[in-house]
Amino acid sequence: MSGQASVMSLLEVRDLELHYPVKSSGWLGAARSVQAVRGVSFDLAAGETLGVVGESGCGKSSIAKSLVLLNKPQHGRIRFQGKDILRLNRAERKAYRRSVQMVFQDPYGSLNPKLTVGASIAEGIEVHGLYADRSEIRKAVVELLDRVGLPEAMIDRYPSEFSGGQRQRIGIARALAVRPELIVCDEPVSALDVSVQAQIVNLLQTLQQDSGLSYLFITHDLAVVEHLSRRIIVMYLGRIVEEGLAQDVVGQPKHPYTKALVAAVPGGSHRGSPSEGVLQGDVPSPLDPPSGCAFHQRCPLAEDRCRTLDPLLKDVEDSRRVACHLVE
Amino acid sequence: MALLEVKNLSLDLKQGDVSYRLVDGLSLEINEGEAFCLIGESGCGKSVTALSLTRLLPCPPFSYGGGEVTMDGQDVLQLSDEQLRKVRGAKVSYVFQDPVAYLNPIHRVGTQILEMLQLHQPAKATPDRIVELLDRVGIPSPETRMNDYPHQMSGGMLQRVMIAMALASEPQLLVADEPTTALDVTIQAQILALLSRLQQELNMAVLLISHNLGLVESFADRVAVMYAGQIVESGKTCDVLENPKHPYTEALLRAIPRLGEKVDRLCSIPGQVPMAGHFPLGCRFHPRCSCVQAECKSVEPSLESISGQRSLRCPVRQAS
Ligand SMILES: Nc1ncnc2c1ncn2[C@@H]1O[C@H](COP(=O)(O)OP(=O)(O)OP(=O)(O)O)[C@@H](O)[C@H]1O
Ligand SMILES: Nc1ncnc2c1ncn2[C@@H]1O[C@H](COP(=O)(O)OP(=O)(O)OP(=O)(O)O)[C@@H](O)[C@H]1O
Ligand code: SF4
Ligand SMILES: [Mg+2]
Ligand SMILES: [Mg+2]
Repeated sequence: MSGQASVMSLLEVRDLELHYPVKSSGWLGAARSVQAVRGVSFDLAAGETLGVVGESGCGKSSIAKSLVLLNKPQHGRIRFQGKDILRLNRAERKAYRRSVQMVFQDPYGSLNPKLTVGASIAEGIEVHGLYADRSEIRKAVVELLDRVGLPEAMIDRYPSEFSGGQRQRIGIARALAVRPELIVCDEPVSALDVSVQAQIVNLLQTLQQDSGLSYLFITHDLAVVEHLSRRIIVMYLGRIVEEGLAQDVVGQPKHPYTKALVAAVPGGSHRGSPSEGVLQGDVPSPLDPPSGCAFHQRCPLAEDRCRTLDPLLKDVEDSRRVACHLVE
Repeated sequence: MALLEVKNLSLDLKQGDVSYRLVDGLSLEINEGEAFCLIGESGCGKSVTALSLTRLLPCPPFSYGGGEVTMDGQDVLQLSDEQLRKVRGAKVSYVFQDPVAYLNPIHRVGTQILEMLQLHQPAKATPDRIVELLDRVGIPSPETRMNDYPHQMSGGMLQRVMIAMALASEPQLLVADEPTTALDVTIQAQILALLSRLQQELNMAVLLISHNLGLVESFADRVAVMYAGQIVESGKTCDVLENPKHPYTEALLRAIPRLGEKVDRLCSIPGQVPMAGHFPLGCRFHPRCSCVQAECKSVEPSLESISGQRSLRCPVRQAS
């Protein structure tokens, strides 16, 4: 890609492939792998929010985890501030682990049940030695709780005592605690109801304005992603199928899958019975991606060539890329 | 008479020496075959209310602080364990947010449905009935998929299996506690359409619990909005959504981001959701309310019927 992009980008992902080995079933089955991410490239500029949407299992969390070094790619490159994150030395890796934080999708599994909320939030602060004495740490934790809209009284309680939405906010406070540069938000507001969601979304925006934070924001809520992001990536079965400015992708979706996503937004422009505009069928298995366009089995527009030829992600307009034979 | 009648139900939770009131004087009615939706802030008590309908809450630490839950004429809070078992399957069954947590990973999904059938409809505990149930919830090639283990299915499929299991006992009321929250949009729409279809085809009442007001709009006949352990407003879905009366409902509706409406910041509700045990005096919403009056801070408003099917817990708005 152009040299220009690498100068501008905080994060540069190229040709990322992530596979998970799976045990073969049956005696004849060869060792197979789930092809979770199949050649994904994108850039994220400092201070920018890049939204990622897509069907369950399309590889969003896999990408997120590879960014925080929880997954090792089989192929491709990830650069952060120009440095390959897979080749960092020890000190660099520690600094990277502070700079890039993740808010996890599952508010139940991502908090240590044996730590109080306060201890959980303070963990990162202690690891990275941000404050020396205990009273300062406690003060910082109380402030963080307040920022994410939780009362101080919760500080000595355990995660099991909280509802899903409350736990998700604890996760966000944990990520903010070490003052990162990039936060990978994996469905951080999906478990929240709208009023708390509005607070968190506004909070993320304020933090970005104040300190130039960048976000990779994964969600299935198109309205939230449209509101927050400058650009959006739409994924399907391990691939990017559409990319562009948020208002373009949502306002004039070009890929048939993006169109179906927009149509499925509840309470959207189209009112009616819940069965209208429902996309049929399930996402195909990434163990065995279909030939041709991965979307062809569910696509209302599929033609013969869609069943055999895999469409490439092409530039169709300025800063707009689409992978569909029918979109030129 | 309504299929389910909850009158003045209160639930307490004991933690150490302190007892909190989680749900306070909750009343609602669900008619036979009706789609009813309970909406509210995270932690406001929706799930504990749902579980209390068949006394599924562990006592202790929970306890029932009074009220009645009448299901099809029987007072659930007074039933013996034996009678309760009957209510749990045959009258009320549940679908939860996270199917993975409720399915046994080492048994085939068909086997798990069979167990439900043996428990509640032994005469129908046959492979044919399993296939029929899976087919009913829209699982393709049910004859083969019934042999799958849970990990071989996607989240949307697992939720369909959960619904099939819930249908196995042929309940009169299906309680779906955030059944689509963990799923993504196109599958969410499928599951909701499925629930809606089943409700109509089987004339089965559905209590949908959600924090997603968008879902309610197309799904429910009536809706109740809950805040801090109490219902603050209820009525016909279209009335409540188009003409919200309670300041909380109104603020909630304004906080939803809408596709294609570019705003600088979302309208959030100032302050925090109070925790059980820390509910403010007077109206529980008053510290966050934009219409607050002096008396809101001291006098606790009651839920008043304002017209037809509409109820409201706000004297200020009731007067205006
Ligand atoms: N550790 C693992 N081992 C095997 N397969 C995995 C593993 N983690 C993920 N997968 C598979 O890889 C694919 C991509 O998963 P991923 O979690 O990245 O999807 P996602 O887009 O985040 O989905 P969701 O919206 O459901 O969170 C899925 O098919 C998933 O089942
Ligand atoms: N097992 C438990 N132990 C302690 N407290 C609990 C337990 N279950 C629920 N609570 C508390 O009871 C209150 C009501 O919880 P409930 O799960 O009913 O909320 P909810 O409305 O379903 O929220 P959400 O939308 O997040 O699911 C909350 O304040 C919660 O913290
Ligand atoms: S009673 Fe008062 S504080 Fe409560 S909602 Fe109505 S106006 Fe607001
Ligand atoms: Mg994920
Ligand atoms: Mg709940």
